[in-house]
Amino acid sequence: MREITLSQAVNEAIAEEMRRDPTVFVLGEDVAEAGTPFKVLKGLVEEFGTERIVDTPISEPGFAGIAVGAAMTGSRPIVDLMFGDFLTLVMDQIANQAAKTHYMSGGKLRVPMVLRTNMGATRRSAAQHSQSLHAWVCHIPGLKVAMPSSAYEAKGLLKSAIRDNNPVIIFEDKMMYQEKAPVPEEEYLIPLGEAAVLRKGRDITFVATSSMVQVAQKAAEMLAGDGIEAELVDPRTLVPLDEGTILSSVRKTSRAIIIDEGYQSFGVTGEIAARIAEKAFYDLDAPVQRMGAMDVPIPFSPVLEDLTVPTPESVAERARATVRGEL
Amino acid sequence: MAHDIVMPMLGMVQDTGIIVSWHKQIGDAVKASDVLMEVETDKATVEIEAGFDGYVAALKAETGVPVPVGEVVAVITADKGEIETAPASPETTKAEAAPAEGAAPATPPVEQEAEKKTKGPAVASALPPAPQAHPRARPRSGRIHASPKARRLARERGVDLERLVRLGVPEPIHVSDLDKAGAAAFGMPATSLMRVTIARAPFEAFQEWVADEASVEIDGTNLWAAFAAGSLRAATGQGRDEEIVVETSRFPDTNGAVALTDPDCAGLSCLESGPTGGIAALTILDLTRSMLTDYRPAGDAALPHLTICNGQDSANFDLYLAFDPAILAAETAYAFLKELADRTQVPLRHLL
Repeated sequence: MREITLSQAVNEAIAEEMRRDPTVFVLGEDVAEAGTPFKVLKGLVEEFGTERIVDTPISEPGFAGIAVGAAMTGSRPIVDLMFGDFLTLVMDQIANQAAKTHYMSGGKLRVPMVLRTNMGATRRSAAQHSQSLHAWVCHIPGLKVAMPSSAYEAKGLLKSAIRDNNPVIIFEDKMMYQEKAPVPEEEYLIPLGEAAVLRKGRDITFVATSSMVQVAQKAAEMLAGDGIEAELVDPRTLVPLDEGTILSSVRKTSRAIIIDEGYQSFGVTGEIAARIAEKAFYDLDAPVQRMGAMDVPIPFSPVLEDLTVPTPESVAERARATVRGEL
Repeated sequence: MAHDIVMPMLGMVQDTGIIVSWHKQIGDAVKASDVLMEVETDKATVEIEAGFDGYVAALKAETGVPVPVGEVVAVITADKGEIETAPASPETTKAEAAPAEGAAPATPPVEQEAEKKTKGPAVASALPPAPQAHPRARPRSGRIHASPKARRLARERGVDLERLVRLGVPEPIHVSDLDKAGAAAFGMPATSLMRVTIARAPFEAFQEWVADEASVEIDGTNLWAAFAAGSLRAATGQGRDEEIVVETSRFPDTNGAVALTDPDCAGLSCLESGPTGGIAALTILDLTRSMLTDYRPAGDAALPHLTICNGQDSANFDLYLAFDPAILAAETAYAFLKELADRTQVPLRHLL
């Protein structure tokens, strides 16, 4: 199978959906000629023109609001939010408008929009451009949240998100844009709400999202050398969450570590750990572990920044302690 | 509050351990993580942590002597005041009293605080707190620590977690501990069996003799209980001031079990009316009124368990003793059966 980067996969997904459906359009800062700072949208403006690849002024609340309105009136906008950290600026449009319009209009209005943004530290982008804030939007009923962990998932999930009739927020790991993975030539969709078991194991379950999937994958390889078989579950979407796949894995292994790059406190790791504790309590042989980003502003110092996120070594070490019954 | 420290089971087939040395003396303050003693098994010498914070109140085992697994070797109390037997040595008391008297080698709290601030937060302290790798033995709090799954499986399989702890399995107990402990975790499968065949004539002759002499019909089951209690007392070396309760049941019988307290000390004529109740040191099942010639107690039967049957040869009794070698050493079990056989053959021994 051919291999393309995550950036190319996103580009392909948007292009394919725009060809298929004339109501799909893109708006955001530097999306047209610049193709975004990460060059994800490069070339789209040549094919679709500035009518459908719309550069906006530097006003996140403005273009997010335009997108909500466009979605209500029959379009399928794809908002490009340059950094996930800027969620702060679009929160009212997302949480109070997009998420609630279908409910408050008694089902008469829909908001079929996609908001693409990113997450992930270790890019030396300092505290305001390095956060992983996906837990914020997971907290709001009415929004769907996707967390692709590879080029393959990014393409399949984005195409499903564009076709979905609800507001969907996709977080792409900014460190993964240039990473290649096998992606089929032919069209495919990945349904929202279906987890993938990326590795089979019997001793411990890793539930890892987005950037942490690779970390967990490497940790699992390290553990295999010690005779510990880790199973890796990638939820792919946090809302809706495929609880069944997670629980059945934990029921098999009796142990779990949840790894997610969002801040550890009050975050995704805590939510998934709690569901396991509630629904698989009598199958647990060890306390469920959470591994998230350290609860600090992400440091600009490369040395310190790298210490704030889980690594294959730290995950493997925690897994060993869990399996040995030391926690 | 006092905590018993038992000889731990460090290997799956270990019956005894030898204390090589004590690292603490009576009266010493100990932390849960302090090494209390060094224990030698046939495989290795292991440092054993105290497991509780407090003070050493008693050291009950000598060094260099094999001690059965599960036997209490030391006692740790939370309060120094609880130490009754041996008070702390004068030096210890003085040393501990000194700071309180105001010799004040310690920096006053305020200065300590200031010192910390001037140092500034070290880089290391900004790192995520590494999860603490607990030593496997945690301080006991009364409730047994076990993972939810281990607790559920123990319930489903009829494993007694309390028993695992007594055998020295460190807490929290995990599923692997249930699997590793294997048979030892269950009431019965760890059981050893001993059988002895004895002639019935002397026993029955003795019953008749008592009936003639004292005009009392002695119930056979109760007589067995009296003999057994006396034999157990002799085998274990327990004095007559220590209570031995024997629980008896018979087949066929619908009255259920009766717990006789010290039946060996009661007069033969008043076995029926003697004191009852208490925690049984031995259970007896009397099958001599049935046609059964063999019967093994169920898996959850209390141990040790003595079954008395009519022998395959009608001139004999067959006695089966089921016991857990981790609780009742095989030598003691043998001594008990031998004493019981001797008593039954020469019942006058019992009266003497």
